[in-house]
Amino acid sequence: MNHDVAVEQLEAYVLGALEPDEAHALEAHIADCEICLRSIAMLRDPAEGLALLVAADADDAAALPPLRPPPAASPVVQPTAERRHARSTPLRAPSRAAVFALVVLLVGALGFWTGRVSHSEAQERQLRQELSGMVERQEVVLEVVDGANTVKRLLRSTTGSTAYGKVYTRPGIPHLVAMAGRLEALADDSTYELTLTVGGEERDVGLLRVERTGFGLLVVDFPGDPPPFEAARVVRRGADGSVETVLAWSAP
Amino acid sequence: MDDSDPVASARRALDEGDVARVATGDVGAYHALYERHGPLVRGLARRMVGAAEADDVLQEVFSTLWLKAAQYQPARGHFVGWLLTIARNECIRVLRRRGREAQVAASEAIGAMLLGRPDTAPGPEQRAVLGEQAAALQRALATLPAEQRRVLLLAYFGGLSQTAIAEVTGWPLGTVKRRVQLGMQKLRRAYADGHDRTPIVAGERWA
Repeated sequence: MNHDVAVEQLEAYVLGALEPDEAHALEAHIADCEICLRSIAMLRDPAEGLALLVAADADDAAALPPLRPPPAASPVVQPTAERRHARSTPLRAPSRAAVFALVVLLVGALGFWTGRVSHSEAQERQLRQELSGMVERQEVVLEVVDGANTVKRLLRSTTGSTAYGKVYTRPGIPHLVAMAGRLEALADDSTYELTLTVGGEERDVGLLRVERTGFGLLVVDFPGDPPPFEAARVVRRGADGSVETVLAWSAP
Repeated sequence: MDDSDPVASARRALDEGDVARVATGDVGAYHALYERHGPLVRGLARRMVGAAEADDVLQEVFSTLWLKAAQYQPARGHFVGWLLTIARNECIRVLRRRGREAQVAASEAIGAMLLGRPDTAPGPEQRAVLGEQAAALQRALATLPAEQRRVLLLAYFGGLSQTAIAEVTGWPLGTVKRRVQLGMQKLRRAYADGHDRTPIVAGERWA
């Protein structure tokens, strides 16, 4: 097929409107034609956008039926060196993407954006470096904060500062994730700690790891679902034993 | 689709991480994608094949995802677009089994729905993936000449070839081909224009 003929068929190809023999002939051409490949990429996005318009419109938010177990056959995995590496350390490659996702997500979730955030690569890289070191448990964090049934509690500042935090739990996941943003820098030897009130009794749960950006994170493991709690606090504990509440949430 | 919105970027990276894990056999990632995008797949299926068969399509689509996850290439485009393409193909398979009348009826119902709904702000899913393009596409579709819109919908949602469209509409094949070309070119331009606009910032869902 010559290029001029191919160009006239690209729109129909993207819509799936070519006859099978026409589609095969076109595919033989585009395999070697950068121009046609680029054109197809530009046409495919609006076509898929139509599908999304229709899909989102009909989303009735009813509970999804349980997902059947995946088919018995293993996923099709190309036996390339890259894949083998991915298998031997299965989370490594995805984790980088996950860390990046998490970094962007957390920054957004914690309200660092007051308008449009600049997304230059350099800034993304810097953010990633700042936060990826502390997010060694990103898999757990993502799993807890990203569920459709995730329960989120917003902790508000009790000191008039702009700091705030969130505590996430998710039924069926034995971890609790706490995050805080815009925390004030700590004096030497003082710490930010999370407490939960369960059954009328307040318990220390753990220390938040706080970055110099004021972002704090804590992941707590439980033997089963985290217990339901009536209140949560982030307190600043000084080396002298002083305790000051910084953030708080309590059940209405 | 829209990459300039930070929330969209985050979601995209999240999806790409999960689909890469599914390719290595990670059932947790498989369920995560189901929770995140199952409602969209079901939404498309409900519109195309009706509620009764939508859940069957939903399961089939995710089975296909499990088997083909390694074939997804992030450079190709947004994961959601890829997943919805799988869903559309599965729906078309169902429609073809029912026959041409069902194919035509499905595309006409979708056309009526797209044209009949109010020009509201895009929902969170549309906003996250499409940004401004959602509204731009909707407007472009509404302003296409009816004949061009009809051939696009018969092809894309009805699964009809150009030859079949010519038979259904009674229009000469050459006319059908020209309308397919013109209609898609207009949508592409509208999409590109929407892409140039300032994207909407952080969606509710992530706040």
